[in-house]
Amino acid sequence: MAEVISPTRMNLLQRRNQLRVAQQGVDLLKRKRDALVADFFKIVRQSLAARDQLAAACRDAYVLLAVAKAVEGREALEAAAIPARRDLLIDIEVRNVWGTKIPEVAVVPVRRQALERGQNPVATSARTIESAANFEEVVAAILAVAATEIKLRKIGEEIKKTTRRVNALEQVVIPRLRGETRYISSVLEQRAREDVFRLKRIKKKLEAKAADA
Amino acid sequence: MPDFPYINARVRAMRGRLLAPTQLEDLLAAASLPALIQALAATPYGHDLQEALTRYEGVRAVDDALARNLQRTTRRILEFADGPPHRLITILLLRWDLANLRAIVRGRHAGRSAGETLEAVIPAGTLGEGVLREMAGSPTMTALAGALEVVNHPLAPALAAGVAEDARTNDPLAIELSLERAYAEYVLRQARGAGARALREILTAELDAANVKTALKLAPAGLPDEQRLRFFTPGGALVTDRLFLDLSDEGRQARAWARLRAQGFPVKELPRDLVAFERTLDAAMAATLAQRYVRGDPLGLDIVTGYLTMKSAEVANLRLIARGVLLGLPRELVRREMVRV
Repeated sequence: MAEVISPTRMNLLQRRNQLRVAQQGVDLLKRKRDALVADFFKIVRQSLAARDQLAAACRDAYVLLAVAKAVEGREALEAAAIPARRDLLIDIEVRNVWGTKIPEVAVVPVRRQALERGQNPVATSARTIESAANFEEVVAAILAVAATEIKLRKIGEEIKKTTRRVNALEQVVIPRLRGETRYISSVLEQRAREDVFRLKRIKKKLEAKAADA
Repeated sequence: MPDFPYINARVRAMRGRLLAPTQLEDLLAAASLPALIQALAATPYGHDLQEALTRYEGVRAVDDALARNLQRTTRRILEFADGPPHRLITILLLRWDLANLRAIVRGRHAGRSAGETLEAVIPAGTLGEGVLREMAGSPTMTALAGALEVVNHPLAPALAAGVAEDARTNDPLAIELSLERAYAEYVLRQARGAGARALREILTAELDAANVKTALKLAPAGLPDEQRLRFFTPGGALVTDRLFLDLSDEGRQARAWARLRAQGFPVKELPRDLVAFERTLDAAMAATLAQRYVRGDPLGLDIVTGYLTMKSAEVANLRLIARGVLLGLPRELVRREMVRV
């Protein structure tokens, strides 16, 4: 049921104020959206570059791994991989961009020397060591892709949300407020005209009475 | 008592069952992995492949079939040898025991299950599957060393010593390095006498190659001398501890390489790319060993050595071809990596 608007001067002033605030809100949200879109395209370029690097790293790593498994045997590589497992801890910092919380994945060094991996240089071939190093590069590339894509997703969601708000304000709230403002103004003007007419009639009557007297 | 002429005659018959280069090329041209497996089933690997396909599929089945075939081959050669020839062939096969012990030690140290650890083992040496399974399932490192001692394995004392040092210093590499040195000492001690000259030459050449590769891998780490020396295995003909230290120091490497070359090391250029260097060195050594089949002593160990080298190369090449077909690798890349003997 539509809200019944009381056509009073106070309501008119209130609606005009709301309209001004809504229009300011639209401008601010549009500026926010423009800034987010500019950020988005910058990160898209970074993300595409990170994806290309990941694809290249994977290609090199898998080819060398296949050769190492073939030449040395799957068993030798399984044995070489046993001491090399570890947990990789990643720092994620939350940054505020135009009121949006964007997670920033910190770049951590992933590549290790053979001895740091627990690989025995006497018994581990250069192919196996290089293969392990290549896959550490793949992990680093995955982290780089994850870092950019998390940001893209967050910024993309925020752009959609902002656009929805702008549309809601421009297409629903502001037209409604304008309509209400126009309605109240026209009612008040009508009343004012009626008052003037009434006063003129009363004045005429009073003048006629005075003339008769 | 079977002697080398008998053993070599049997091995020559086995040599006839190795695949020809044209067969390898046909396999490399297979359109897909299933087509390759079908073609491989028509070779002497067919029986092992059928068994492997009941447990695994794809490349894993091929790997398993090739490993089982290699294991059966080494076991057969041991079965028709006795006395001194059996002892010499056992020494040759001890390298598989070393690789298996390394894998089991790493698995137990990392807390892997027995099943996972056994994935990294290939029973082509003197240790049977039962012993390897028991060792892989040992609850502690001390129990693992005890399991090896029970079968009177020559590397048992070194394993026990390494386990003790690891318990003191928490350094799992201590066990592996103890095993490496003990292996070298044992095989060189056993390879004495007129009948073992060929074996001694092979073992010292392999130790030299291993020490050179290790030194070049250590060079970028910039470790002090005493830490680098841990990784030196004595016993080679060309590489002394001094030369090892110089090769593993980037500042002294060029001069050390010149000294090594002057002593007849098979690779001439100081490598920039370690992977390419190892490929070249391994290919040169495999070719030299395989040549023993043709030019070596027909009444000694050379035939067995040459054959096992050709057999190992064939297994590696088939694994490479399988992966090349599976991943669609360029054929030129596969051919470049194949071991030609």
